[in-house]
Amino acid sequence: MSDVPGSMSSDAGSLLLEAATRGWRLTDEELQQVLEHIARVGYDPDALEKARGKLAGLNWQGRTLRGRDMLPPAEAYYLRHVVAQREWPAGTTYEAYLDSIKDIIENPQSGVLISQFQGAWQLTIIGPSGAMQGPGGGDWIMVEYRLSTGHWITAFQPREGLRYLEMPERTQRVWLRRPH
Amino acid sequence: MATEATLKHVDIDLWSLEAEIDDLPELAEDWNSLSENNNVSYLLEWHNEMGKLKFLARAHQSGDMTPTQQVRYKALLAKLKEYQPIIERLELSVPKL
Repeated sequence: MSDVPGSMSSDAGSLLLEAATRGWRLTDEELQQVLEHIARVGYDPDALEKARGKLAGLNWQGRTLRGRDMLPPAEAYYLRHVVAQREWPAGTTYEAYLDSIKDIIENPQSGVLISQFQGAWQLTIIGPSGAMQGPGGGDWIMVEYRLSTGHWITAFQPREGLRYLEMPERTQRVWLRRPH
Repeated sequence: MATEATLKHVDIDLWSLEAEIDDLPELAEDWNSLSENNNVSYLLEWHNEMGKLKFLARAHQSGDMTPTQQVRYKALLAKLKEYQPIIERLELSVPKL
């Protein structure tokens, strides 16, 4: 299993594709290997994206953000979902947000869904938010990982819970493990 | 009678949708230059925002909004209608309420 951030090892990638396209059931050990890899890679550390209007006016690292400011995705999604939308409890730090996502990925009770979205395979891991549910949050925390880019692409608490995963744009859905 | 938690949720969701929809014209300018991850994450998050819109519609229908929240909700729907051409151009989906 590769530890290089942003790369899905050929073993793990092949396992996921076999599971999706041929209905191959992964062993618990194989699934655990894949999930440990995904927990490590995180958001793309080399990317930048616009803060946009939702984050404008927030104070972050000693400055007041403007909509056109560029941020690493991990910071942008922390500010969006934890600070602005209050999906996590008040006072949740940047590190605690990232740790809560890793916990969901590594939690054996979390569901693991592979599906196609916008023409490429994605792995979605979804587990109960528990104590991490804030006033604007929901019962579940969901992480989306895109195989083609090898990073998390977003992580939030979907308003509609598990129903969120039924959007028609998400096709060829296969549960590798159902949430329980 | 709406609980305090419901009214707070309504407030947070109204703010979230107002900010998201206000940003649509600028987003449309950037749309073709977004990275794959950014584009896909936007679509996923838009779908979640539409889940909030459905929640607000239910709260409005059942009277679980303050008068101020009702005004904001109606303004939000009007803005969505105004930006319909952008929404169609970006191929974003909006639920029937």
